[in-house]
Amino acid sequence: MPSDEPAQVVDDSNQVVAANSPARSHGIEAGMARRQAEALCPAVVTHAQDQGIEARAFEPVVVAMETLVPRVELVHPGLTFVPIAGAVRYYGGEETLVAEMAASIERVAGPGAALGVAQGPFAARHAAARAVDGPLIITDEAAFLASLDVGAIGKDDLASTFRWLGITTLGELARLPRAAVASRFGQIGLDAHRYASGEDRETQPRVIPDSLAVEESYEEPLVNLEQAGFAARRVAHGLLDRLRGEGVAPHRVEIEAEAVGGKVLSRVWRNADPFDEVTLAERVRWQLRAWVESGGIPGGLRRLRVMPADVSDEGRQLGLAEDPVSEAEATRALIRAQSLVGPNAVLQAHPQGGRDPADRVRWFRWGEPAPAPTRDPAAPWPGRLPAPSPALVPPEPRPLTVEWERGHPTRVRLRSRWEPVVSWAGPWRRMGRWWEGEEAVDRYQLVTSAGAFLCEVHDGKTFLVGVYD
Amino acid sequence: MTSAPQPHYPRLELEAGKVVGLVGSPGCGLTRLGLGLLRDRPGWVACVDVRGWLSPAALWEVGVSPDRAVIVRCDDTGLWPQVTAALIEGMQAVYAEVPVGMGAPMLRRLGALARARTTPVVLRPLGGDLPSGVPHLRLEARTVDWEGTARGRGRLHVRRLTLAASGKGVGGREQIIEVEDDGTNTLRVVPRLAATLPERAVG
Repeated sequence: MPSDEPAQVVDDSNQVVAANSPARSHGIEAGMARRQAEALCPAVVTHAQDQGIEARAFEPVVVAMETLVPRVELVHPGLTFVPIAGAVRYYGGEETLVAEMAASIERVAGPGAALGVAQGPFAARHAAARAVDGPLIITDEAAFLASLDVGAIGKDDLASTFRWLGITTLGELARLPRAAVASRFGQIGLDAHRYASGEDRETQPRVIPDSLAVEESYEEPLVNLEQAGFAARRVAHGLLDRLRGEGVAPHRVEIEAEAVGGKVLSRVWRNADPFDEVTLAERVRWQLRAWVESGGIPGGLRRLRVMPADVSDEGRQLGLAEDPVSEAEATRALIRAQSLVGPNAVLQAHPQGGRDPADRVRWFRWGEPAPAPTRDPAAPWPGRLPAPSPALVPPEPRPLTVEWERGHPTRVRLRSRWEPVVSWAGPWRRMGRWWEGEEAVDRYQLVTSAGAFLCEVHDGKTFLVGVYD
Repeated sequence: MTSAPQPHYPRLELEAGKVVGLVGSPGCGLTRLGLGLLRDRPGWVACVDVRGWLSPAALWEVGVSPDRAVIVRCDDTGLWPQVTAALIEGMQAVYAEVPVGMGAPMLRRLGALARARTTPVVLRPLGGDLPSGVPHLRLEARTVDWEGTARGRGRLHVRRLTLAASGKGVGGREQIIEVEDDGTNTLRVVPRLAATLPERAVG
């Protein structure tokens, strides 16, 4: 982001996730709706969030931290956890180490990094969020956590329920009997109580056998990000499939990549909840992109390995209708389909607002997070064609030969034959953006004995835009 | 005295490992009918879209959840059997457009795979017919009528599709059925026109 003009980054749901200092001076802050931010500062430049790019930009920061302390763990671009217990002795104290780390980050990314030190990741994260004037080192973790708002647990619905019950801080939550919280709220409540009590998720130390790792080697090194993204999805699925068989789920994974020349890179990623296919594939893809674009994998990727670094018995909570075996089989089938036709041809879609059938569909590639609708589906959309929608919609309107008599359609040419129009409805006029030179379009439903068609007329020509097949 | 036998209408629903064939020219309403067959399936369903024209909006309207449906575009006749086979192996139900010129042996193999994997499959040939024995239930479009439009007024509302049903799914005897789609139910068999065709006329 430029530093001299107001700029903000918004996510798929049009919520501000980051703002630079000129934007913040206008009152824009993370969590605000885009419209609200633009009302505060109409000149603000808006960028769409791309976590792949963020991972690439964050890579030098991670490398700078790794030069001081090994085993940096990434949560997402912008947030890392660093286990410093061992390094503290080497550097002679927490203050010295944290000061060294802040200076090291500033050299590669400039000022502005927020560092927090605490016993566990949960408290450290919230300490970092409150580190305004330099690193914040928490000495009394229980008191620090007790002062936090209950919203810090990160589950909005649960936090609202706690507030409704009169519990507003983590301290009040921690004072409740754990058994009662677990009985009332289940696993999610139990996790919240543990966080509030300063106990991050309990991990059972166990030896993770090498056989759980998933590794792929490539005779033809992978050189482009498309191939790497596809490989990421495959290894993520392979790993989770294997762990599912063992009845465990990964909270931390180590991603290891080997370049053609034999150079090996590795990085640990962690997640508060057990990784699922989408989140794990995303992390592997971000990491590979960051390495590839920073020149870390010269000559291409020869080997990719993903290894669980920490597993727990908590599997992903499945919906009532979900069956883990059929889920895994469906995933395998779709990965196979992707390998045959490419990821751009295996698609999902979600509804969005719009007047025409093609406008009302938001496509995205299967296996990737669903983007937020660009047009509000709940808005009224005057001129919108009512259901039923045509089952077939050509990618582009196709010329259609229609004979008209005194403004009424009389017959349609379908391939080599003419079909009389037995009835029709319309026109429905779509005005278009007249201020940008777009012409009005009239849409008709034409019914013939061979079927019904949706067509639009503009510039004196008729185009097919849907078949009610 | 015995009462007249009641006509046995085919059930328009998918059965495990069975293939439903939809035969007829584009425009006669078979795509929406085929998508409607997917609606009650649990888990993931896939549609193989050969022309790139399949609209998810129609899929949602017939009751298929956007979160459980995937559309796989494949216009390569060489890849189509592999893609369809992969989906039959892993999905809970598959709707597949069949490209023109697809050989009968390949379609028979896919039918056998569907039986082996107990995956219900809907095949919609874009030209020609399906080889005999592949579809358990073959539905051929005869006529399609729309209600709701009149010289510029109204809108398309109710569709009546007359189908000839044949194959093991109707006990080997061809039946003419009428399916009414009023937007709320795409698969309602209307009894008043349903009748078994006379097998032999005596003059």
